[in-house]
Amino acid sequence: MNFDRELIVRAQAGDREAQESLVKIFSPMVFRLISRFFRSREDVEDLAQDVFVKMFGRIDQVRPDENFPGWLQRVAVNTCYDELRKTRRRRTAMETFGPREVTEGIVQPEEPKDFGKARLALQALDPKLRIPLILKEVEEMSVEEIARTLSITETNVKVRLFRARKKLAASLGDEKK
Amino acid sequence: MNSSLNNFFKEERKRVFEPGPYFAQRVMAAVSQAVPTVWDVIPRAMRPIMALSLILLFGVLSVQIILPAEPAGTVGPIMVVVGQDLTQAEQRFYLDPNGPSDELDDLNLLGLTP
Repeated sequence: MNFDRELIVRAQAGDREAQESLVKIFSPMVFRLISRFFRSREDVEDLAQDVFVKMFGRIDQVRPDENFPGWLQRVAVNTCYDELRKTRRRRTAMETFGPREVTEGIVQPEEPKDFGKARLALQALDPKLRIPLILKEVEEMSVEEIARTLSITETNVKVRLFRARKKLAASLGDEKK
Repeated sequence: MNSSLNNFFKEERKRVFEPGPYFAQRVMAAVSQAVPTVWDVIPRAMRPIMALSLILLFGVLSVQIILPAEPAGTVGPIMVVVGQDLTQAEQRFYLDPNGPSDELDDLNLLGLTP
């Protein structure tokens, strides 16, 4: 991603114009990433706002030579993970691939029956397994990138991907029976 | 992975929300309203040290509160027995928390009474 690194230095110094420019440059990336985990526009906007507020709260930690987009991705994914864990505990309709009954009242384009099953199977997955799987399959990140984003080892990523696929296959297999 | 799941992931790649035209202003308003907590003000490197100091402080305070303080100037059971064999001057010397009160007591103890 091309951007002027000077913007970060200015934003660190408290320049509001530079801060606003950073939001404009990186908001599409943050929105895309959060869209992978949340289906409602309101949730995505609220979480994206949280990500940028956190970003400005910690921007002084960014070193001049650091991969800023990668750092911001980490902040965004961690924010999604925290929210998914909270929503999983609360079991509310805000969850990623939300319960079908909640979306029944909303007019939505028709989707193949299999997609609904896949959504429900993903919904049942622990965020610890779901996040690496979505980053791999939907965001098309490499194992190395996922490891860096989640601050875990590559082996750990592979283990989580293996478990996620196994659980998905088991739950989709059960559906077919 | 089965093909329906692969197709589902392909569909998911197309589902992306774009930021609205006023999103940047909304973020800037939220940033200016965000009030930093005391914890935010402390530099990140200092936080573990601060946390450890607070834990130690609370630990010491709770020990102080929980453990009863020994009353000052009281004579324990051992001294009650031993004290019977002491002279008045020796008792004052050993039991008086402020120490021997005058020069005469010191001379008494040394057996140099005039």
